[in-house]
Amino acid sequence: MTTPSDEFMERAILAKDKLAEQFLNHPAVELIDIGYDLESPENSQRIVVRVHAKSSVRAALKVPDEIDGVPVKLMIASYEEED
Amino acid sequence: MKQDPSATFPTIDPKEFRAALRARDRMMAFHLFDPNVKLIDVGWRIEEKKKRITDQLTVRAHLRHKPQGEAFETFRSHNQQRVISEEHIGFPVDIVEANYQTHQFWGWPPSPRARVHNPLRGGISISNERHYNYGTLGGIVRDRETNAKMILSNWHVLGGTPYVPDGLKIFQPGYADGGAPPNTIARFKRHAMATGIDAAVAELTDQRKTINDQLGIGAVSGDAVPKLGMRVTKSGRTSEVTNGIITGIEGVRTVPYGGFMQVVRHVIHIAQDSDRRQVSSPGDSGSWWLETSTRLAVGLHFAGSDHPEYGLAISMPKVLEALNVEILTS
Repeated sequence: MTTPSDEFMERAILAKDKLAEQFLNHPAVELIDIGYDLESPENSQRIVVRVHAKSSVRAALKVPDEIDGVPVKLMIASYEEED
Repeated sequence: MKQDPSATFPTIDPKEFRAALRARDRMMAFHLFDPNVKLIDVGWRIEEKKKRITDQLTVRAHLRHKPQGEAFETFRSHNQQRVISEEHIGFPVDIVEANYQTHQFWGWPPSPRARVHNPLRGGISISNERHYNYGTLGGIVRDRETNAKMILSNWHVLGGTPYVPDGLKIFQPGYADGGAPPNTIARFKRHAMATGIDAAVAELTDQRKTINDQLGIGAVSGDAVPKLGMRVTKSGRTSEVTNGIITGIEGVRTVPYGGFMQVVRHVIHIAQDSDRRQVSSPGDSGSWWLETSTRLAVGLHFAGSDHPEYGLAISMPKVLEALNVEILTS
């Protein structure tokens, strides 16, 4: 698995924070993190900023393709606390 | 909710009912995906204080938490777009506080993790005395200042409300697994939700012994920073021992907390390993994710997704720092 450089991680964290400001309060957004591009089988080792959202709003949620050179991807997921 | 059995309700005018349905659709468009909204329907207004159902037709939003008074004013000032109002919906609105849960009592044989355990160890059923549910005892820790022995799990398992009463009892097994006051093993001490970490500790009562062991895995050897690509394993009340791989770090998520949405930080994302088996299930909240090869604790499990199959945890070093505790490895 790819290990990101410290420099890339710093940029990715800043990019994630910018996305969180814009999208985290959207009711369909479940999580924003930095990780593998799991929904691209040809590129699953690439590290991107990921916006996890419910499938029903996939088309409506306009996330940018990249922020400050860090790729951004939309992932479909819906999480529940497991008590 | 008591209702006079002889009470009758007026016939609903079809035109009014169609207007209510259109208003319900408007409410759905704006609010159905709000995580605090559990149901939207058309029904009679409920006067909660008088415990009475009126004969006024309304569109009703059933909320998990209904902030009132000053709490509502603060909520409104920060979340104007989430306020549900009659002006916006165009029909009388009623806000009902309710939290609906699916009922899954299918009569399966109780899990061995759902019985009384002595000594206490990670991976077994616990809950607090107020909530009829169960989560997982993550493991044993020590208060860095007082040296007191404690159990570490999620805030939403051990407390579940912003203002947790001091000394709230923790049962093992959990309440929904048959736990009761004689099964009290710990008393709630503190949580870290104010800093965005769904974690809490409860001080042990010395009713039972403890052992550094994750049921089905073995002893925890300490803690470590979670990293992308790390292979991990956990022992949970429901899905027992499962494996995964860390595919995301530094995540942020919002969760309802006392009528507000609190940002939970330092979230790690766990996907299925090559075995493609289950990662987690309801009841596993509070489990500790360990790096498989070293058994160093890297995450505190708190949520999951079934389709696709993922788990969410909080970075363990951040949890320990926020609660000022350390893992007991001896």
